[in-house]
Amino acid sequence: MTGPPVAGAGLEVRGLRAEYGAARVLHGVDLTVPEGEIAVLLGPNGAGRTTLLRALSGLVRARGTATLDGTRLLGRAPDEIARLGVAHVTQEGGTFGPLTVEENLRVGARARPWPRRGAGEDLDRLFGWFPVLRAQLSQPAGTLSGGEQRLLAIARALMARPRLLLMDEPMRGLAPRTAGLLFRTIHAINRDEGTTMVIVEHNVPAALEVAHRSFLMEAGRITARRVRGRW
Amino acid sequence: MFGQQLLEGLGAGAGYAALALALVLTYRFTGIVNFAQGELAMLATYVAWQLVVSGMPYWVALPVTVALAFAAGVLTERLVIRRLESGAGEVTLVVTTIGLYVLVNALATLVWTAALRAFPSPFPDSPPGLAALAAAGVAGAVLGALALVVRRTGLGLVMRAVAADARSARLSGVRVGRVLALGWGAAAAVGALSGVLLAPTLFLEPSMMTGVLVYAFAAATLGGFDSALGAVAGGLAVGVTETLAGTYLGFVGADLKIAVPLVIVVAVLLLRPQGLFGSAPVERA
Repeated sequence: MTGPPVAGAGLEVRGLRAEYGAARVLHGVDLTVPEGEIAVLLGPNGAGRTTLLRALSGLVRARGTATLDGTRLLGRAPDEIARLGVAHVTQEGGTFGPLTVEENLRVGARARPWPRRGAGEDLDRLFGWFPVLRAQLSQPAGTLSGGEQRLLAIARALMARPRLLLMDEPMRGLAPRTAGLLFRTIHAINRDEGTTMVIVEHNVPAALEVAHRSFLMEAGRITARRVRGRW
Repeated sequence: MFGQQLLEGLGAGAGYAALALALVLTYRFTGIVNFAQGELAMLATYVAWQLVVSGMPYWVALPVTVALAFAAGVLTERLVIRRLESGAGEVTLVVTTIGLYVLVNALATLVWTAALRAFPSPFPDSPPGLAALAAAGVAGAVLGALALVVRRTGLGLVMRAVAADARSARLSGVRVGRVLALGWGAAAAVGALSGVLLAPTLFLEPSMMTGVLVYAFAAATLGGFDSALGAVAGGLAVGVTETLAGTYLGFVGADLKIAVPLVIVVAVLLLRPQGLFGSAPVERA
């Protein structure tokens, strides 16, 4: 069990509510993820986990409060939130198909704070984590396999040097071996870079292995939380 | 005689190419076909004419007009298109551009009347071939510069990212609104170039770009609606075919020559539906 989080450091969400038209999806979500930790959101389909990530990255309008290191996130446009250091890898991945792998990574670096130096060294570090991308630098992203595109989407998000990385089902559709490799990579990135992460995942055993804390979501609420092995 | 015709065809083609490129730019960025593109170019041409008759040299009026058109394009996106984009579908946006078409046409008629006016030639004493060559040269230089920006600069990279997937670009911190406004501005500027290049060979009147818009659509379709290079090649091909067919095919003449490039376009599309330079999507499943 960790001690109480440092005030303001990391992600703080209080009373988050969101709806699609008349259908309310989030009914007042409270959660805290201290800086440098990995949090995993578990739960059935339709529990509101994807909507929670979307609300944090500005794709869905929400009420309540959400702060990253004390900075307000809600009420801002997605590009502004990205420039504040929040990277969101959506379920669809969202790589730029006609652009090459290298160009995708260069677009990812656009969100990093000025001056945008050090992108070259970051590329080398990324290739250490995702060696498969190095060999395909000049290939259009649309021609990569689904798994490779997923890795590219994560790599592109990391090029922004995010303080908070949101990932929606990063292992979806991956072969078990690739999925295992990806989770070890996520763990290594968190360890080496100290990036705070919130991950939506269906594969409970794999997710719990890397999570510092986990939240069970049901029907738009958090119904259980676990910190380092204890529910 | 043939060389002269070829040059004239290239000159007209440069104008069609520029308008086709403007259509393709708007389409790639916003996914909509801007039916008002030709009318915005016509409006810009009137502005250029006004500048020239008030004493400004043609080669000064041209960049001034293009810059004004760029600003107008940015404003159109900011004030009209963006407001609709959030809540309206593509069909609404396309119908809005048809509304803009009518509005701009009416506005031009109100201000300048429907009277035919001659646009002064930049080379009044030289053979028409030279003017056509200069038009093609200017169009080529501008389009080349645009291609360099899109292919080789950070701004171009961001523009291509937005064209590929605006939401992901937004999540990567790209100010998509600014990029879209820039795209509309660039399209309006290139469209204005088309109007001003063609104006010396056409009479200036509020419907002067209607026929050109048809040619530009033909050029963009021929080249491939997602290819800037295709739009330019298509424009030149349409210009040259139209001119040569009008001169050398006796049964075609001046009245029927508009149909010739369209027939060729249909023939090409039957064999290659994505256009000559367009790409069928290469996404892996």
